[in-house]
This record gives sequence, structure tokens and C-alpha cells, in this order.
Amino acid sequence: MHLLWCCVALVSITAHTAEPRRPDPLKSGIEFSSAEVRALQQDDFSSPAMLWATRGEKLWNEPAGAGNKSCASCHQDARASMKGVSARYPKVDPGTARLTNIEGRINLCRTQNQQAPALRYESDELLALTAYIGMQSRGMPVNAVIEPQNRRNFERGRDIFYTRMGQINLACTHCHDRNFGRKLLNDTLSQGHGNPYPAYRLEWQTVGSLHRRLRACFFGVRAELPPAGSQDLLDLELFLAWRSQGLKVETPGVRK
Amino acid sequence: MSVARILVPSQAKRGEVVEVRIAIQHPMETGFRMDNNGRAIPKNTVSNLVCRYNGAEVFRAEMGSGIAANPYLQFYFVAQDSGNVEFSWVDDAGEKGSASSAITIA
Amino acid sequence: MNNRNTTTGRRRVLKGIAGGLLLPAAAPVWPQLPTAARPPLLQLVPILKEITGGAPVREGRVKLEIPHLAENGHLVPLSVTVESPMTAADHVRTLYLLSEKNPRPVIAKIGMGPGTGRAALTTRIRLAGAQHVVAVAQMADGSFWAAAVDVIVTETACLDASEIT
Repeated sequence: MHLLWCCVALVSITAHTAEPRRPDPLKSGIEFSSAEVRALQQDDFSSPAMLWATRGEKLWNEPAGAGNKSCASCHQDARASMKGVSARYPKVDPGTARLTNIEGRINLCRTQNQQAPALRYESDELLALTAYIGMQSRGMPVNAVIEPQNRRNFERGRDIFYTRMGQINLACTHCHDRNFGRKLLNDTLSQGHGNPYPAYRLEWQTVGSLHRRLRACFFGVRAELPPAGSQDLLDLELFLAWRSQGLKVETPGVRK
Repeated sequence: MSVARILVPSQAKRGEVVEVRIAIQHPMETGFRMDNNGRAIPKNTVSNLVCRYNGAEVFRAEMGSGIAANPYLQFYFVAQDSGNVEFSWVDDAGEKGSASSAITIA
Repeated sequence: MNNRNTTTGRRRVLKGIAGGLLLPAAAPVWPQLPTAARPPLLQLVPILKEITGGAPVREGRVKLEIPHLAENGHLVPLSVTVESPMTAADHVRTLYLLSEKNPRPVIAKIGMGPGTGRAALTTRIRLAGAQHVVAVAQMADGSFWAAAVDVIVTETACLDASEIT
């Protein structure tokens, strides 16, 4: 009897389940947002996020680097060539055989094809380009395919999602699977999807990348912040993409 | 040069009150934020924005740090003759910005 | 027996702790304070005296729309409309947006005229905490009209720094 209850207690303490599950029903963060935030995201003109996408369109056509080539030199009109691309990221780059997100892919292009310096995370230019490219997938379903090449990444990302961390000792799942829709202090918890990123957050007063948002979550539980672009965050990004499968891309989104 | 977008109808009737909008990418730095070394980031806001219609001022906004980052304004003017709607602004650092759009009066 | 109570007891304690943090998301209704219950305008925004030079400020003709509950003080939408024919004889000359508690009380000073056509403006402001926002219109004839709105702000601009994240 005593042993049975010990086992029950042990199972309930361990957050990790055998197979990861998507939240049900699957809901974008916009559904947990205030009317004001929803109004901002819906109106392309007043959405502050769109200012970055507009800059991104300019940068797309600007020559850069020693080769003096712009993105358009190879990719022509982004509305055609980039359509649906973001929705399938992050993915394993055939050249480097490493899991790569859009930021990483842009920098591969810049360094290898344009002979231009890589762009820093959270730099205005990288945010503008990722916002513009992401916007070409807006309205399309998130669709990152898990296959043998990225299986290990997926499993590492899954493990991060379900592992307790930080001084607060919580895993992502505790808030975003078990308590979405409920309030943490004044914030309504969302399901923690990446579909609007890069997004304008009212709190940031600017557009920021998904990695910035993830780092903020690590900070929230007082865990060490993995650097933007690190393997941990890339793996987590892949798991989150799997977890939000089917949700519409909202890039460039608006959140509080 | 920061990104700015304006929304001005291309056509209007004489005497019609027309809605215009402007959105400017600008941090509207308050002067109260600190950098990582504890030093205050200097105040820099878009301070004066003027809208001129065929050269005549129809709207002016003297803004401060109380206006949210990436300022957005939606206001009106009376359409009279075909011509140009011009927006110009300056920030505390002296950076000037401008945008304009043509309007045809039926 | 003992263990069953402990398990239930633990769950109840956890629920108690969690309940403090994780409240169900009910939409609260924040009614506007009746004008009588609100401090007088000169007390809310003392700078009004400088603006008007001591002239009387009447409440009316100005409609100020702001969400009662602003999720984030960094961006609070605001719409203001003044009843005015906007003719050469009768129009809004200047529209002030004033804050009760921001470090700088004047949010914006808007210049209008007959060419403006409609005395209406939509913009987005910053609010450093829950406070009143006051819109004051100075008419062509020199008279002042105002409206005030009480806004609850959950995350404060200017003072809540989140630079780390």
C-alpha cells in the first residue's frame, strides 16, 4: 500500500511523458491576447511589426558584400521564391548538415554567397529580413518535418521542453501544456508556440526573434540563458515547430 | 533613415474630410532607460511632425516620450485641390524624415 | 490511511499555492469612475494651469477613448474626438494630451485648424502606471474643454525595465 502510493507520487512528480503530445486544442498565442494586441496584429498598416517587414523588403533588394549582390540577385521576388519557406524551418541545411533556422540560413547566404559579414541576432537588419521572409509564409501552416536527419535534434529539443530547470524549477510543459489559458500573476499563459516570430512585443517596444523570447522564458525560471543561435535553442525551436504543426504562421506578429 | 509608411487616399472629392495615417519606425527613447553599464540612454524622440497639404499646414504634432515607440498617428484634412500631401518630422538627434503622396481631387 | 491523507493534503496545499498565482482568466469589468468621484482636473494635471493661464476648463465636447485596462503601458491606444465644426470661426486650435503620473506630463501637443476638417486623432501612448489621462482642447475663441479617463496599467512604461530579456 505504502509502496503503491510512493509509485503514484513518483509518476505524478515526473513531468516527462513517454511520447510528447501537442496541446489540445491547438491555439495560437493571439487567442490568449488582449483585444488591443489582436487589433494591432490584424491591421497591416498600424501593426508596428510591419515596419520591420517593410525594411526587410528594402534590404532584400539592396546589394551587400564584396560580390555586391542582393538577395534578389539570386532569389528574385521573395513573394514567389520565399513562399512557404519559413513554415518549414528549422531544417537541416544540406551544405553544413546542421540544423539551421532562418537566421542561420540568411547568415549562410550572406557569408558564403554575398561575401558579406553575418548579421547579429536582434540586429535591425536580421530582424527585418527574417520578418520579411517569414511574412511570405503568413497564413500557411507550420510544417517542420521530423525525419532521420533531424531526429536527434527533435529529441534533444523535446527533452529540454520537458525538463525542469532554473531556481524556479519548472519545465516549459508546466506552464504551456498544463496551464495555458490561466493566469500567472497578470499574464495569461499561452501554449508557447513560435508561429508569430519574429514578433513585435509591446514589452520590448521592438521586434525580436524567437530566440530572444525563449531566452526570456529561461530567465523567467531563473535558469542560465542559452545564447541566441545556440544548439539548445535551435533544437528547442525544432521541437516547438513540431508542437505547433498546423498552426498558421503569423509572422510578423504582435504580442504583449 | 528610419522606415516610415503613410496612408493617403489617391483620390477624394472636393470638400471631403480625408483620413490619413502615418507610422514611423523610431524607438522614441525616453531618456529613462539605462544601458548595460548603468548609463542613461539619451532621450531621442520624434519631436515635431507636420503635415502639409499643397504647402499649407493642416496638422502638427509636438510629441514627447509619452508617445509610444514607433509612433502612429491617424488624423484628417479637408481635400480641396489636387496636389501633394507631405509629412515631415525631426527627432531630438536632428534626424529629419519625410514622406509624401499625391492626391487627385474629383 | 496515513499516506492517502498525505497525498491529498499535498495536492490541496499545491492547489492553494498555485491558486494564488494561477487564477482562471475571467474578463474583469473596470467601470469608469463617475466624474464626481474623480479629483478635480487641476489636481490631476497641475500643468493645466500653465496651459490655460488660469482660464476655466469645462468638461464636455471632448471624447477620449482608451481601454480601461491597458495590458502594457508601453503601448496604449488612444482616440480623441472634439465636437467642432472646424470652420474658420469655430475650430480646435490646440489639443493637449496630458498624463497624471508620467515623468513628463505633456504627452503631445497637437496643432489643428480649419484645414484639419475633423478634430479627431488616434495614436498610441506610454503610461507609467495606472493613472488618469486628460485631453484638453483649446478652441479658436480661446475657451478650453476637457475630458479625463482613468486607465489601469498592468505593466508600467518608463519604470519597468526588461532589458535583460
